[in-house]
Amino acid sequence: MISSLLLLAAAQNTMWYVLPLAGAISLVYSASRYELTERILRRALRLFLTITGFMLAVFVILWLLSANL
Amino acid sequence: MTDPRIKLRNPVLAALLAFLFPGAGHAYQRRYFKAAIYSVCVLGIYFWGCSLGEAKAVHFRWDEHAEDGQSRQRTFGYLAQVGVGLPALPAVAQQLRYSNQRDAEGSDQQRGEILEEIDSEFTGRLNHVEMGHPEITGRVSGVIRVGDYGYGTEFEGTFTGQTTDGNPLQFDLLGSRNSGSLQLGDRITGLDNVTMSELVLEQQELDFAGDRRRFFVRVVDKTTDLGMIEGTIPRPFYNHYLAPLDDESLQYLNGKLGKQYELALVYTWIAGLLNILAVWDAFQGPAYGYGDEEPEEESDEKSSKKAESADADAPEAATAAAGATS
Repeated sequence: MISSLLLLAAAQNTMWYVLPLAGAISLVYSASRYELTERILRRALRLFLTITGFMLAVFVILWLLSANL
Repeated sequence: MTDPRIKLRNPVLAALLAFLFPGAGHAYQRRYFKAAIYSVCVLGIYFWGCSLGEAKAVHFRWDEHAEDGQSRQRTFGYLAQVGVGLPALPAVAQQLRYSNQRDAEGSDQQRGEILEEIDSEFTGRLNHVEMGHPEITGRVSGVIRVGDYGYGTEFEGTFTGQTTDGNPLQFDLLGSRNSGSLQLGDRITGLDNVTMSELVLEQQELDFAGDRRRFFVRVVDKTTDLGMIEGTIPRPFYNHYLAPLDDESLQYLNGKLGKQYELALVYTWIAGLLNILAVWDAFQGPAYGYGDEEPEEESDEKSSKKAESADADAPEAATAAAGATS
């Protein structure tokens, strides 16, 4: 299951472009909310994990829905 | 209200600097960590997008009406890209130059376009020329120089160069745009079709370039037609950098790059939009405050402790209430 997911992710190589984009969005958004360095970094990490986790969840749902197509 | 610990200095100037160059406004305010974040993230995403789109993802075109054979283009995406500031702003100037050029083409007034640039290196193909030699047809390279007459829609000049075998060549050139004996690519454009007719027949593959300009003209001996040369001359950087693209070039780019071009657009759009957050931060300070007012973990702990104490108090209150009723 996991290996086939990774294989699918590797095949959809454009998906990897999301990671730096999500990282940049998280950092810039958090930096515009707070001034304290530590707080910015902590919030950015949390936002990054939220974005990627949400996208991964959507990916898995779509992958499961399309399994028998 | 902005936290008094944050010194915004001159907020308007800082916001302007932040718009023009991501991170510059914060560097001016001596908020160096933020300057680094904005600069690296915004410019990093922007230039990566430019790289994915082979430097053609950012361009601005705003047609008032559709031209012959062209669709009416309005690149709304540029309104997001321009948020990056100086790196994207030259596209506005290029759009103005491009539309002036098209207006000039419409009225057949292209003064200066030949004199300005066509005194330069040429590479291409020479066809059907006899100058006391057997017929020469093949690749040539050399220099094209404009003659006494080289403006408007007419061209008169010379070619000096050599064949690939090293045979020296020199002949006169004469062409007129109206009669089709002079074909020039657009002076200002982001990408241009520079396919030579032979290549189309041999390879069925189109060739596009931003830094080269199509040049086709008759080769003459006095006024006798000897053949033609077809190839490219250089297009200066300032005539193709961030310049608008026509329909054919966009189709070529989408066909060549596919999803990569879409990604390039998304990257550059997002970079521009992110910088708007940075500009606002330079002008107004961070949206939620300094960041040490009430750490999230502590507030979470406090709220959980409150909840626990409320649960612990609840049975006692219940027994007290029961006692009161009995």
